[in-house]
Amino acid sequence: MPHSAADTVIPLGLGRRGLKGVVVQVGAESSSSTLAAGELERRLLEIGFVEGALVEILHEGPMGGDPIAVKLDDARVALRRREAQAVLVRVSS
Amino acid sequence: MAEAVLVYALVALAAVWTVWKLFLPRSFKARLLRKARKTDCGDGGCETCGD
Amino acid sequence: MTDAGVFPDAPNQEPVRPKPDSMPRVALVGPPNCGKTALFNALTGSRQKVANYAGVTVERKEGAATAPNGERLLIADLPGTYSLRARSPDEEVTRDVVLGRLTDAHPPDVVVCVVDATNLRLGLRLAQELKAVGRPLVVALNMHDIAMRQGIDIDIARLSVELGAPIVPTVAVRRGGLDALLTEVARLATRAPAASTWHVPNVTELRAEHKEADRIFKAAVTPPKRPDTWTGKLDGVLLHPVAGSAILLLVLFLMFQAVFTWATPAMELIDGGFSALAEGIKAVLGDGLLSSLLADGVVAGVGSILVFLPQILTLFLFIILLEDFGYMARAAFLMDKLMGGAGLHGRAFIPLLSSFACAIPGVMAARVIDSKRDRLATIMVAPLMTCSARIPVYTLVIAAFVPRTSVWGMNLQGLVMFSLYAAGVVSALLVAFVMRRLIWRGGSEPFLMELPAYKRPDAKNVILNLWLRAKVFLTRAGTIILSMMVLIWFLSTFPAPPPGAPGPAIDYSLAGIIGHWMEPVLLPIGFNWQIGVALVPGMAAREVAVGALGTVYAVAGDDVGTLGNVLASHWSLATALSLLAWYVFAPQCASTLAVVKRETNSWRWPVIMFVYMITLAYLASFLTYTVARHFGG
Repeated sequence: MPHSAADTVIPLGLGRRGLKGVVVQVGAESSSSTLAAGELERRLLEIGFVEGALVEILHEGPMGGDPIAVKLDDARVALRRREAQAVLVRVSS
Repeated sequence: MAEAVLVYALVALAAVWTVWKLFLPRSFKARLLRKARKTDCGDGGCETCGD
Repeated sequence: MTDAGVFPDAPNQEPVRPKPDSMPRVALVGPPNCGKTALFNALTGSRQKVANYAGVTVERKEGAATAPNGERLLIADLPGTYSLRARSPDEEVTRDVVLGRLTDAHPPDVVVCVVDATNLRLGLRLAQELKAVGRPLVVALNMHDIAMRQGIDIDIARLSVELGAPIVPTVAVRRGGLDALLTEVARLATRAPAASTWHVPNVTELRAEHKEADRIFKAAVTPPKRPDTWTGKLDGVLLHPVAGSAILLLVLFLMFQAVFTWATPAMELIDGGFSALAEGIKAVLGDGLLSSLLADGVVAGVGSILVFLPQILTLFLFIILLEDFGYMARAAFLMDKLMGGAGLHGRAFIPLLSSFACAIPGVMAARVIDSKRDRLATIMVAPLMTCSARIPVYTLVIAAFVPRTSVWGMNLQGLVMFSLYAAGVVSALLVAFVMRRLIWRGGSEPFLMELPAYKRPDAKNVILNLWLRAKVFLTRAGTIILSMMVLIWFLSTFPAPPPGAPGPAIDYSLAGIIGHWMEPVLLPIGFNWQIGVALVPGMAAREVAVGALGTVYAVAGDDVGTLGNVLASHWSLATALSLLAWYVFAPQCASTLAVVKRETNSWRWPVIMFVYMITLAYLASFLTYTVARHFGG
């Protein structure tokens, strides 16, 4: 379900285009990724998903809105929603 | 006569070259070359070492 | 992306001089998209050597550079990585070289960490890992000009103090800061390395490094008052669900139309040159055996391959430009769902796109995919993408059998070509889908990649890359194809026909014997023995079949003009279409199979690949031929 109310915490994977927020947790267990939880967490950390980072969903893929392109601090990163589930975001707008 | 010899030599050369480049396994070539050149493969400049 | 290599180690002809042992070694390390390779190109120019690391097939790029004090430095460009914690063979090489674990490469005397000034945080985290390695470290603050233009204010002195490593701003594409960088490297080269304290960071340490990177970033960098929106605006169009997809299709379509229209004048020039050369040889040497070898074997054969150089370069030019512009990652984003549906990773788009030039760099580029299963699936279907070695075969047959008319305002020949490309793509996706169902059930890897900022491609860098690729193609045409042409000429000339024999001479030659021998197998798919003759050497590389057909028909005594005309008078339309279908699928490339063997380290995969591809080829040709015959072709 897409959420947009401010101050709620949702997995990034459920966000819609335009969602802005701050990463509050990386490596949440809710992800259905096929990677081991620790491995996914490391990869997300390595590419810059870290607690406190600013995120904004910029684009959704042309087919089924997946993958998503997000602005992550100064960088742009593309990822599938399945993996984005592991990133919890406090919605700011 | 000389022409025929030249043609056969060229064809033989092409055959050897093709077999060398295309069909011989690398490890075999590396062994042959190493024996011939006695180069040590520790330096980065060796072109025939490894895979 | 090199061209369809007959031998994959082709590009290592330029040894680095002087003997590298005496030169300090410098390793360039950095995250993907930091402009590391552009920096490497700027430092070493065309004096590069590309080979492989022992035991693995990761490209080893080295080149020499001279520091302002005259000292020569041996510079290695290592695969991009976010962390020394390696996940793919490429990243393992970076880790092992930096840590000095490789037996065939000395540890670097200086490590240069290349970071993107417009996206500093990731680079700053990697730099902390590299510091722990203990080797002298210099940070190259690359794309500094773009950062300044965007209004990002970086206090370099402060950054250097906070990070504890010298920092040199560089602008790789304009050669800015290179002397300063080399001076700094040469100064540090004599310093003894400290003991390495690096270990695989756990998630807590990763977070701590991020926090440290963030602290350094905030201390030294003032973000722009008005952030740059160029990349954002472009993405708004190029990643738009409708407009973006349409643009992607348009780009691909334009690419293939360009291959056929831009390249034509140059091709005619090359073609004319080789014909004149062959005639000149015949005029000087008369009608003897040697004259036939040179004119019919060497010049005609090599010429019929070289004529496709303009097309291959056009294709490469597009791929290089799109890569340098930053569009490739966007294309992967747009294609991910489609690729994912076929069980492939979005990143497989890049190896598969490379395979349009040649399956070998495509198979090797599959190393960017971390998961073994995803990698294997990509490797197995890469040869179905239409490589440039098929272009000679396709163009020859299309030019001979497809009329040069316009359909809906588009060139019919271009349209047929486009559909052959489409057939390759669709069958690759289908085969991947089936393989993921049959062999590797289970989920695939995460799609997680950076979308780099758009950059204007640098003309010098593009030309250098194009030159490196052209060189590989020319070396091949000049060496392996040349020798194959001589052999084919021999096969189709000896033994000579008995005096007074009625048929063409080649009928009595070795090639004729092999061709006739294969005829019963090839008859149901409409191939005559001449095609059978051409398919045998065509195993070396697809395009060799064109040269072989040229030799077979030229030697057969028919001289009614170009090879295309000869074919048009000898083949039915059904045969021509059947041959096109054959070439969509057939594993007519021994070197691809060899590379797959090396990449997978087992004979199992190349054997599976050969069997499935030749089965598909035979079925497709049989179907095409039968249907075309039915409609009177």
